[in-house]
Amino acid sequence: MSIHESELLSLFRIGISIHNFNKITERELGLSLVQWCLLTKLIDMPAASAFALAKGVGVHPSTLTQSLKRLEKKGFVHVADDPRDCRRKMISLTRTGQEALQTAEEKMSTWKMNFSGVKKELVLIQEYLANQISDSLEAEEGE
Amino acid sequence: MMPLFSKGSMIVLESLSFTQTLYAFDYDGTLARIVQKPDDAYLTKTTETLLKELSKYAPVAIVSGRGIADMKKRIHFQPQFLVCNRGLEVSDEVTPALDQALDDCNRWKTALNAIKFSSGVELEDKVYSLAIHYRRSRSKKEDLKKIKELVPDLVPAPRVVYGKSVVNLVPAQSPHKGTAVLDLIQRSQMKHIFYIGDDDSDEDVFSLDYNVGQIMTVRVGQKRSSLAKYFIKHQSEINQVLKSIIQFYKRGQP
Repeated sequence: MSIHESELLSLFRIGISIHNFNKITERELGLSLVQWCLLTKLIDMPAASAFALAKGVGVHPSTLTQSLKRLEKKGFVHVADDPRDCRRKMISLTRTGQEALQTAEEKMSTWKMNFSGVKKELVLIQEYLANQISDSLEAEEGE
Repeated sequence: MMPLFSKGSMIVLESLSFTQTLYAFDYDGTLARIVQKPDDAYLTKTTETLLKELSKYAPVAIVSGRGIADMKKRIHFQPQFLVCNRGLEVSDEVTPALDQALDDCNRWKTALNAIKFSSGVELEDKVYSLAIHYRRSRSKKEDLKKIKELVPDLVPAPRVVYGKSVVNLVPAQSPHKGTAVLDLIQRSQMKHIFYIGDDDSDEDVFSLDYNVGQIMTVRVGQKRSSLAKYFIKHQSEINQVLKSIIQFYKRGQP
């Protein structure tokens, strides 16, 4: 299936909206969407390796580096060497991080209500288009 | 290995209290200190009180090589999981593997009773496995050598698990502590496990950390070759470990 110009434009708009929403969450919650996503995953993955965490979130490990550095600076995560293999890092949620996440969740619950009107099908279409584009970009890089 | 009582390790330990975690403890040498006579190994009042308190916040499991009847005499509270004979006996479940294990043990007992050991060697009948203790032997080296020599002649061939001044004979097909803990993850439906143990049989659990994840492993006593990630120096520090965990849960309460 080829993507038409109008679909690309609509994806672009979605991208911009997410970018703006990300700015709002960072300002209002003290956490960007990526950071919120990482902390949420970390709750159930104490002392996770960067690789496992990236896999859990669904991104490439290198994508995490900057976000983790910011979270560490805020004191929300603790990054330590794996006691048995110092090449590996272990990432854990701190008490401060857990409290920040709780506060963010409380504020987010109101926003989530606003999103309740968004149809599941629409989300699936957006995910599908985003995956298609990223796959085609990866294929191009491969060539 | 890293000391458990360090700032970084405590943050990791605290992070377990944010998720659904099962706290599993070996008994001899971990919850109870090693004593000359294995029969005298009991929990201190403080340890038992702390374990009871912890079980109010999170599920607790005791994973021991002892038989379940023996274990029940030693603890005066009901942990959520009591795993004995290294996973052969789980709480009060009866499995077909137990009949076979009982049969194997009876045959080994007959063979071992015919052998003369020095006065300090004791044969402990755990019903579904046997333990030959030589802690009180005056010639430990010779007795251990003797035990090692006779094991290959036993029929059916047992699995041999070496502990601190003890040689355990367990049925070949029976689970080890590692599989017992894997089973605990399934049964408890918890997302993470904290496990602390002190001897070689606990290495089966420590090794899970690398294959399964979802587990924080602590060894009583630092040992370079151990696969556990963290250690406490002595068994006497177990109460401090329990207190710390309880403290983390209390801190998280509104």
